Amino acid sequence: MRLGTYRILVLLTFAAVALGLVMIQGVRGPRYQDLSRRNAVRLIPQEPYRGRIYDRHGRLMADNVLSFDVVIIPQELGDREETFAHLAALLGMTAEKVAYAYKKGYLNPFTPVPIASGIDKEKAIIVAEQELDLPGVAVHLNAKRFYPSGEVTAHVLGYISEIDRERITRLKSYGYDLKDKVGMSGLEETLDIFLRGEKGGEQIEVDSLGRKVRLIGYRPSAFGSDVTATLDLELQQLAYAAMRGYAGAFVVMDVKTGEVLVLCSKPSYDPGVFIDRSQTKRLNEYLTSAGAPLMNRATCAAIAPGSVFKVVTAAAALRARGFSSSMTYVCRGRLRVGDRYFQCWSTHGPQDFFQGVAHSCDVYFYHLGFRANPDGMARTAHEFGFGEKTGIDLPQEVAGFIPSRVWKNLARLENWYDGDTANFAIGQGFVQVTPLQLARMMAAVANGGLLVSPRLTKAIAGEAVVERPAKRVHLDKEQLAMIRKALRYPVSLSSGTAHNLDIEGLGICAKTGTAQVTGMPAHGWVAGFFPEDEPRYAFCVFLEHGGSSHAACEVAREVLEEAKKRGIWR
Amino acid sequence: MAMRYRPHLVLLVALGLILAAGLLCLYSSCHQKGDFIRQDAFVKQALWLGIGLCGMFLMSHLDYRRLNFFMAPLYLVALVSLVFVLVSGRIIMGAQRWLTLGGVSLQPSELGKYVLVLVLAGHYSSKAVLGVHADAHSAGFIKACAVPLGLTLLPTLLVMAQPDLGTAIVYFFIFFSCAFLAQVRLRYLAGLTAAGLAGLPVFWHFLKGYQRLRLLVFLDPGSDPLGAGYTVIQSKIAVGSGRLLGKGFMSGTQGQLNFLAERHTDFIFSVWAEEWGLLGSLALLVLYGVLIFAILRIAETAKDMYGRLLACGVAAVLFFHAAVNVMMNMGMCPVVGLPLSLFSYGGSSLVFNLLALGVVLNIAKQK
Repeated sequence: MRLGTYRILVLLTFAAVALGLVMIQGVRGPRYQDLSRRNAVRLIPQEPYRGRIYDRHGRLMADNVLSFDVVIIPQELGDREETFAHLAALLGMTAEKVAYAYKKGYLNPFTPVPIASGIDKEKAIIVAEQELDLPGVAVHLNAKRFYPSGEVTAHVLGYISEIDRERITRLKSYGYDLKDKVGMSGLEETLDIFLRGEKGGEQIEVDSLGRKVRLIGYRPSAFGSDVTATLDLELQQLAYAAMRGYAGAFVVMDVKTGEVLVLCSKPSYDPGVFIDRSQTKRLNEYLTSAGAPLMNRATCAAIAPGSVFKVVTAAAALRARGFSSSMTYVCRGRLRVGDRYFQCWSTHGPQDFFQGVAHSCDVYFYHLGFRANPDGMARTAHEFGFGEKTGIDLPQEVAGFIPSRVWKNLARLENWYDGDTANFAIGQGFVQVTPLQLARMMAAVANGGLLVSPRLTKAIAGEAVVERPAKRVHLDKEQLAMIRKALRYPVSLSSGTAHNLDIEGLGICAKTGTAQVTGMPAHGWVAGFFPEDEPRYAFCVFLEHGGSSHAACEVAREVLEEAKKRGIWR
Repeated sequence: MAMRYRPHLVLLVALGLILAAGLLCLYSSCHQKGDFIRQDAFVKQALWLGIGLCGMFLMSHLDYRRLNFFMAPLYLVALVSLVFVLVSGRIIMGAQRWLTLGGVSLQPSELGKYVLVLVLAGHYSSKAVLGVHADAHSAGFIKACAVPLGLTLLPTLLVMAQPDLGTAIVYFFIFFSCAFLAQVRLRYLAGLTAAGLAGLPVFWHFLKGYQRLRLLVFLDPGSDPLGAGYTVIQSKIAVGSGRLLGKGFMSGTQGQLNFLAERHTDFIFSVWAEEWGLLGSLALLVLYGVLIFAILRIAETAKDMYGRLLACGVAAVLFFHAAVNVMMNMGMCPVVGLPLSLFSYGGSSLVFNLLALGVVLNIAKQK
């Protein structure tokens, strides 16, 4: 009978189907379950409230302010054209602009599309009142980053912006996502991990068209940590004002802790431009301007230090065998080195150590350079932290450069000449330093030989940041005391180069410098520390093409004197 | 007293369970995000179920041998209505399958399935074919194959013109099942199969674009994930994500959130499998198996060749629909648009299936 055969056919077919069901639902079930979940579940992230940044006395430097944003929720949008036209009229835009913003910002049916952000409160109220006539339109309150002191603290704080491709690749494993707002410079970038907080969000179920069906879960976002910086906002403002039209940098730091009280770079920029993307024109100006306002000159400008470097030369000479501070060299306005003459900026006659420093006599320091020889100067310079990054908590910093015989032989395929030694001794030629490095050198001289690490973060979420251990400069106490004593003369002597810094009661010790630039006005420098007896602060002023060190001293005097009047130094 | 195996009771129990599960599943699949969006469909199906059960009751009291007299007129009605549907039928889902009679939409191709069973059973049990051996084994090619194949091809070509590939294949399957069970010589059937296979390329040429696409998508669902492949991928996800115990009644995300297309008709099995899991889908499969084996048992004990072939034809129709539909939902065979008999939404299909089962019950009664 064929009926039996037919039964077997039915049985085998059903067995095959049953086996298929076991495979799909049993064996591969977990995979399909995962797929069905991903089909139906979406996350809407909620931005966390970013931590604020205060100065050392609790003055607010980076804050979050409320911003009224008009958004359209696509799945609730009624008649498109009508709504766009109506909304455009309320916002004072054209309907085309609204349509363009909608098209550009559209992600999916449930994510609100921003149409206008940061609108006036009055306008926001008008739109909110008409929400019933505008299906899908809503006014959202969002936190917007705001920097009360704007350009004054721009280089210290940096700014935040949408994450870029380079950062997303680098930071993905730390929980950063596309479209995240991250710190792009300054403390905002260095401390981003603390400031950003934790994103919260809604987990929603969507249908096959991606429309929101219901809320599955909600996790509130976590606040970011507030940060206290070492900066003194009042002092920073004084410095910024004193720099006037100059380009350059002003640094003040605590000689014992390395805390940076002033870190000012000019020209500066308005960080708000990066928050409000409508100001693209100004943004482009910043990016293309020859003045490079985005560059932090305190940490990223590597320039010849000029005579300020003579502190290093002096220290190296003091360590050299057979040198004594009482030895005098006669300055006749120039010195023959090899077959050419090296000039002094004046004719000083016989100069001992203290006179040489006071007058910044080049001839005296040529001699010291030969005594210390280039290797000794390079070693001392490295001990004072030159040629390497200071490690300040800012994302961008350059190392500067200290030349050496070996470098010149290998990189330039040239011999090291005595002329190079002479240039090295007065901080010209190949030497390149940053203003921050010079301030740190002064701090090391002032505090008894400790090379402190400059830092801008005082506390995170109320917890003090641990100081990094400082390296020691290989100079004994007497040698350092001698340098300190010498550095008082440029200020105290009426013939001294920094005499206009002789402010009653501060006891400033300083060294000036002028770095020649071919075809352009020279760079002006002054760096020092005070008070003389028990130094607490080190400072450095750099004026890019400022003409001379005199202008730098004027800027420094204005700030230090005004700060004294206000009792900032205490 | 040992229980006697009474296949018609087994049939009724299995049928009852399948119909109940079907209504339950339809109720769920008529919902979307908690809204009863296709309430009319559910109510309609319940009405059709009532009509169908009445019809089944009537048919079980009508001597099946009388059907022989209605065979020729029914065949003509089926052919005419298929022609008529081609000319004036409403276009639903890209194909003309429905005929509207006084506000009620009918699907003549559903009628055609069981009319073909009637015609073939009548043909293979007629004295001219049976001869002295009381089966078609000794019959020549003309009587055993050519004539019944001709009778099959007429409605098949009309259905294919709709175009309804699935039903056309069902017609062929009915023909082969009847011929095979009527003891037609195997070499004739083998010859026909060989000829059919040789004609496949020509057949491919006549397929509509979307039908070709469906066949290609079956071979590689990933080739068109947002178009034709979407249906298959989503139904596989639905079936698979049910896992062992299912997501629970009315809780299938694939079905409730509209990821499944055609989820109250051809893909209703996915909804069932998603919400009731492997246990539920195997149970349903077993119910269909029990139903089909009960019908085959009734066929075995039928008192004449006509009754035997009628019952076998009904079993063949139900088996083919169940097997192909479930495999289609799992991506094991191409999407050919066959509903799951007695389970999917669709009045014509439900009523004709129940009528046919009424005939089977009558055959069981008369053994």
